[in-house]
Amino acid sequence: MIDLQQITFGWPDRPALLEIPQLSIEQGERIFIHGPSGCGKTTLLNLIAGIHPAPQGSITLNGEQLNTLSGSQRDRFRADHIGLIFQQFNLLPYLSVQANVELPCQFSKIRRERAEQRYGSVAEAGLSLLQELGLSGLLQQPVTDLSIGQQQRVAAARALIGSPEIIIADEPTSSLDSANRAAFIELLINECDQNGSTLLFVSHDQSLAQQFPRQIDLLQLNRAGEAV
Amino acid sequence: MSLLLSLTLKSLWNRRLTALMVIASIAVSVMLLLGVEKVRTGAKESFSSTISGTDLIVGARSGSVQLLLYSVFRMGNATNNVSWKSYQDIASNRHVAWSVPISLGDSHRGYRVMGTTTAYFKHYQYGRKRPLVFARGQQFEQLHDVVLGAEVARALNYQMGDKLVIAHGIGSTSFAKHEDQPFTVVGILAPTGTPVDHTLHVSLQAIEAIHIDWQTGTYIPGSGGTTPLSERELEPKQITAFLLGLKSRLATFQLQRSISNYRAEPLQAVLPGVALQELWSMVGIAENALLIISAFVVVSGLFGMLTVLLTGMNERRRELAILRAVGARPWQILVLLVMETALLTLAGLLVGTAVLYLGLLALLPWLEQAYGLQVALSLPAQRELLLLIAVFIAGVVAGLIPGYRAYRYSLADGMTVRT
Ligand SMILES: Nc1ncnc2c1ncn2[C@@H]1O[C@H](COP(=O)(O)OP(=O)(O)OP(=O)(O)O)[C@@H](O)[C@H]1O
Ligand SMILES: [Mg+2]
Repeated sequence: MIDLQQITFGWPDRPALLEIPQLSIEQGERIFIHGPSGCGKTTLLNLIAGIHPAPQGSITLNGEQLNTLSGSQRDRFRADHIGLIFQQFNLLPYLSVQANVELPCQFSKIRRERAEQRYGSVAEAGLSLLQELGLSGLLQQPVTDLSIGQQQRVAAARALIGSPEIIIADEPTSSLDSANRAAFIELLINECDQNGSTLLFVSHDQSLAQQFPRQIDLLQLNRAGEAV
Repeated sequence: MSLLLSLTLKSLWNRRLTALMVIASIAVSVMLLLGVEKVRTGAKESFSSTISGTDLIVGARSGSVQLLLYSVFRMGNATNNVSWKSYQDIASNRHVAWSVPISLGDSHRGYRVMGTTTAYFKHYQYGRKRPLVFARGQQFEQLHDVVLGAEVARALNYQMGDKLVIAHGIGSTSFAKHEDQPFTVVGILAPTGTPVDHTLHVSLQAIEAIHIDWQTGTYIPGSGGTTPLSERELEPKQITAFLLGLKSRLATFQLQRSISNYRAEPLQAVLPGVALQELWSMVGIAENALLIISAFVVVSGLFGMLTVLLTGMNERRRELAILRAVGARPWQILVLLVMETALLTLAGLLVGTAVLYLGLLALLPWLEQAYGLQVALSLPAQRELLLLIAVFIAGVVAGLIPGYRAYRYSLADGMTVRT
C-alpha cells in the first residue's frame, strides 16, 4: 500500500513543483503515470522511493511512514521493498548479466530470503527470472555486450528479484522500438502479477496506457500552479 | 565484506589500464624509497666494514676521525709520525697478538703508496672478517716488489711483471719521481670494495730505500752516501701509524689508555668501530636528505593516484548510484572506494618491492665490484617494513578523500548523471 498525504515539494529557489493533496495506491495495483516532460514525474517517483526526502506531508509505504525515517533507514527500506528501473544506464558494466540480477539479494537480507523461499536459491531465482524475460542464453555475458532492450530486461529482472512489494519504473522503454516496448511491458506486468507487486510505471507515451488498469495524469493530480 | 571486495576487484578490472598506471606510479616511487633505503644501509654497512678484525689503530695524537681517515681511508695526511722505537715498544706489549706498521706519503699516478710488512696481508681484514686475497701473484719479497690493489691494476691496466715508478709526495702531477728505483708488480689483490683497492703496497724497506737521497723534502743525488742498497740496514726511523690485534679483546681499553699516556711521544689509539661510527654520523646528513627526497617521491606518487581517482569519480557517480539504488549503504560505498585505494597501493608496494629485489639481484655483483657496495639481499628489514606500512597507510588515507566525496553524494545526485 502506498499512501501520500499533503505532499509539497520544490527545488531550492524555485516555486513549488509538486503539491499533491492525496494519492492512494493499493498493493498489487498497476499504475501508469504520465504527463509532459518536466512536469515532475521523476521527482515524484524519487519522493516515493525515498531518494529525495519529502519536506512536508507524509508518504506511507506498507504502513511505514517514510519521511519519519532517517536517511540510512530509508536506504534500508528501499533496498528491502522497492525495485527500481531507470530510464537507461541501469547496470554495472563490470558484472555479468547474472551478477547484476543477483545484486539486490546481496545487499538485502529480506529479498535474499524471499528469493530463496520461492526459488530455492538466489541463483535459481535469477535464472528463472532471466528465463521468463527471454535472456537465459546470456547469463555470463558482460552487460556491455547486450542491446539496450536486453539491458532493460536485465534491469527488470534485477528489480523483480526477491519480490519487492513495489516496482518503480521510470520511462524504462524510451529507448526501445514499439514492438519491443509492448513485449517488455507485458513481461513486466506478468512478473508483477505473479509476485503481487505494486507497479508504478512512468511514461509520456500514451499508447502504453491501455495495458494499465489505472492511469494518473500528473498535471491533474498536481495542484502546484507552476507545473509546466 | 567479500561482496564489496569482489565488486572492487571487478570494477578495477574494468578500469584496468588506469589501475595499472596507478600501480606503476606507486611501484616506481616505492622502488625508489626502498632502493634508497637499501643502498643507504648497504653503504653504511660496507663503510663500517672497511676494516675489521683490528682492535686498535695507533697514530700520532690528533683526532680519532683524522687518524681513521689517513690510516684506513688514505685521505688527508698525518700531521706527525710515530717513531719506529715506540712502535716496536708497543708491538711487543704482552697483550698484542699481531701488529702491522704502515707508512704513507708517496703516490703513484694519484694512488697512494703504502709501506708495510707482509703481516698486513695476513692480518688486515674487512667486511665480515674477510682476509685479503691475491687475484694473481703473491706478496712482496724483493726490495722493489709492489702489490697492487684491484682498482689500481684495473684502472692503470697493469699486469704482473710490469715496472712502475713511485712519485715523491701525493698528487697525480707530482714531478719528483723516484725514477732511479723502478718497482715490479708481483701481486694483484682481489677486489674488496675498500680503500685497499686503491692502494699500492710495498715493503717498509722499499720506502726507506727510495728516500735515501732525500734530505728534508728535496732530492739531492748522492747525499745519502754511496753504500749499495743491498748492504744497507734500511730500518725505518718513523712510520705513519700501525694496526694492532690483541690476544684478548678485554685488554683493548687498558692498552688504549696506556698508549694515550705513552711517555716518549704523544700517541693515540682508537677503536676502528667507534671511529667509523663517528665518521658516519658526519656523512649521515646527506643520507637523510636522500631519504627525504624519496619520501617526497612517494607522496607525489600518492597524489598521482588521488588525481586519477578523483577524476574518475565523476564517471563513476552513475555506477555508485546504481549500487546505492540496489541497496548499498553509504558506508559500503566508502568502504568500496577505500578498499580500492588500499588494493592499488598494496599492489604498487608488492610490484615495487619485487622489481627492486629482482633488480638488486641482477645488479648486485656489479654494485659490489664497482662501488664496493654490499647490499644484503635479505628480507625487508624492520625499518623498511615500517616504511612500506607507512606508504600503505598513506594510500588508505588518500582513499578516504574520494571515499568521503562518494559518501556525501546523495543517491539523487548520481541519478541525474545521464552520461
Ligand atoms: N536536481 C534538480 N535541481 C533543480 N531542479 C531540478 C532537479 N531535477 C529536476 N529539476 C526540475 O524539476 C522539474 C521536474 O523534473 P523531473 O525530472 O521530475 O521531470 P519529468 O516529469 O521526469 O520530466 P521527463 O519526462 O523529461 O523525464 C524540472 O523543471 C526540472 O528542471
Ligand atoms: Mg523523468
